[in-house]
Amino acid sequence: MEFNNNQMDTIAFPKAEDVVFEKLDPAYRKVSIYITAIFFVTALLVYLVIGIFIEKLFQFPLILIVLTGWAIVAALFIIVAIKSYDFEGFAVRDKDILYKSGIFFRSVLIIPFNRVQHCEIENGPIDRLFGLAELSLFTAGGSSSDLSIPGLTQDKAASLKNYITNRVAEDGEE
Amino acid sequence: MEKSNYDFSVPNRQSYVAIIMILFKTINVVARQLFPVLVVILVGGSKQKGDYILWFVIAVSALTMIYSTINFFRTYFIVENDELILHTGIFSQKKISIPFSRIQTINFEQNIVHQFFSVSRIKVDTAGSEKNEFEFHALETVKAHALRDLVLSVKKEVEPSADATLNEETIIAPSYTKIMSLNPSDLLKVGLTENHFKSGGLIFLFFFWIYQNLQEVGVDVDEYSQEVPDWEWGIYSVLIIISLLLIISIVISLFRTLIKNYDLQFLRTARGFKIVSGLFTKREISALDHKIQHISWSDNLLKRLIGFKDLSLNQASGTELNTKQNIHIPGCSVHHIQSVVDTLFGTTDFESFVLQGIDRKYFERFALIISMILFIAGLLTYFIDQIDKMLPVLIVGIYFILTRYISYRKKSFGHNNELVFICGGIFGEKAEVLPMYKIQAVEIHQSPYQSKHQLCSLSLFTASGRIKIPYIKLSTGRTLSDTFIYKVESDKRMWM
Repeated sequence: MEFNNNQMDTIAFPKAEDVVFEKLDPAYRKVSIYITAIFFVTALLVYLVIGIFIEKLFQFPLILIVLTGWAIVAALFIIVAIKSYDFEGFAVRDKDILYKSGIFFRSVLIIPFNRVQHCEIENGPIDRLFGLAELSLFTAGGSSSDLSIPGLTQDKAASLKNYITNRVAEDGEE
Repeated sequence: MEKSNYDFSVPNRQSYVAIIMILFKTINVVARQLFPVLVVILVGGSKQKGDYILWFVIAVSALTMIYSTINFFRTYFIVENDELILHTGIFSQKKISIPFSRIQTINFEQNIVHQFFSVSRIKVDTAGSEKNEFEFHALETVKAHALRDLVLSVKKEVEPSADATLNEETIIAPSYTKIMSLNPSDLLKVGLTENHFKSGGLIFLFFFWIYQNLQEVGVDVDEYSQEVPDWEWGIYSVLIIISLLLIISIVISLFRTLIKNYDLQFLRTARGFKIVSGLFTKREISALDHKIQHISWSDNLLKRLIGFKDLSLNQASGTELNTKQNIHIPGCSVHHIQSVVDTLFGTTDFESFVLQGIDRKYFERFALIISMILFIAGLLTYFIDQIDKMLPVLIVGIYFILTRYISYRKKSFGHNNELVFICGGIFGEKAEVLPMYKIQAVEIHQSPYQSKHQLCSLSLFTASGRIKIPYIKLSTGRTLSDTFIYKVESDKRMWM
């Protein structure tokens, strides 16, 4: 069995021009901002509610420190939520799917369709509000190699799932 | 043939010994969970409260036992159309059917009670996301083996005839050839060359556990320890304590090895491997060739002296990554490993692999960070006049940097048409062999530092876990990733 290495070079990869990563739906940026905001508002509310019972939490220097800290961390997370959208993207090839993510710690994950066990579409309440969905692919074994693409329009998620399911089935028949 | 005496097409129940097992297990679980509570009751405390708790415990245990016993009579299995069908449940009948092709392994276990009644605990593992695994507490050993042979032999045929009754002709009894076994002197060697630090850690954990439990029940250990007269910490007492600890560690290692690996037999079956071992509890684990995802072996300084390596066969795990699916065989020689590799992956010459090392920055980056931490810590301790406390920290830091350097020097990787071969280790040698087509996903990741230096780390995900190649050139990472992905996509073999 002669191993053909030439073909590898033509297979596109992140930097190579052949694979153009598709952006997630623009609404996803809003969704991630909202989710981050909701999380931080809830955290603050919890603090305030607890503060009703434990008066210490409302005393002057502590409350100021907590509020400033909260504001800084929340602002950072919201900036990350805004920015990370620009670094996320997916690409579907004939035989596999690629997903890249990460602002600072970048990663590109590739899962061949013939190793996908099943796929799933999920949409949470905020996702639904914007007509978005998340597509998850599962492989056998641990959950570490699973891939989820958030921020797809519901139509796109459905058609993508359909495509992948067909490809997985084709592989099974061959 | 004796095997065909059993008719699995009619409902089969577990051996009655299973009831004993279930009762024993219940008591065991209850005792373990309620150990601190029971100690409180026994030691003293509020008498009446204790009585209530005791009655409650007894009631719960009794109910559990009754439930389990009824469940025993309601549980049975049938073999039908190459499927193992299990009926169970008291209030709602549950029917679990497992096609033979889904069965990963059937493993047996015999503790002393099992051995006395010549029954086996039988555990059927399936790979995949569904929780289709089940276990019988006790099944007559002969019957259990017959069932296993039936499942395996049907799988052997490409197109199993569904209606043909399985008789002697269709059942091809698996034949075993021995790859290796541990005789008592080998066992002793394995025990002596174990990682004694691990055993030492276990002692520590054990005492810590006792300490914690005593604290929980309200015994103040610290108070007692103050009553012990002040001890002169001379150099001799330290030496004595260290050598005592060492001896205890070695003894514990020996015991652990003896209990786990007594009479270990590593056998080759028609399409897989079988490992039988154990002193009190005899375990029989089988692994089918195509279920084994990757194999690895390692040694330490002591083991290298006598040429022993620990081999581990890593199988696809179910929903969770549990180490139970990895089969460890200690005391293998290079020849044993070579023969396992050859049977699994075809004749392989490890000398022919072109291995390349990882980038030097793997070490440099780490050394820089550790040195900086040490420096800052040194400054801090200097200002609070505690610089003499820095010595142990410094030693630990230097140890980390040194081991990182060794691991950088030893880490190397390469591949041929079929296999990925990764070497590494710190004090010992470690090697991993993974057939490319078993890869399920490939990930290239870069930290900001790595991006700056055009480096990356490569993760290969398999059904039996993740294998990482750290700090390689980005271009190398991409070529490797493309190669592996190409191989996976063009390979039509069953990988699981």
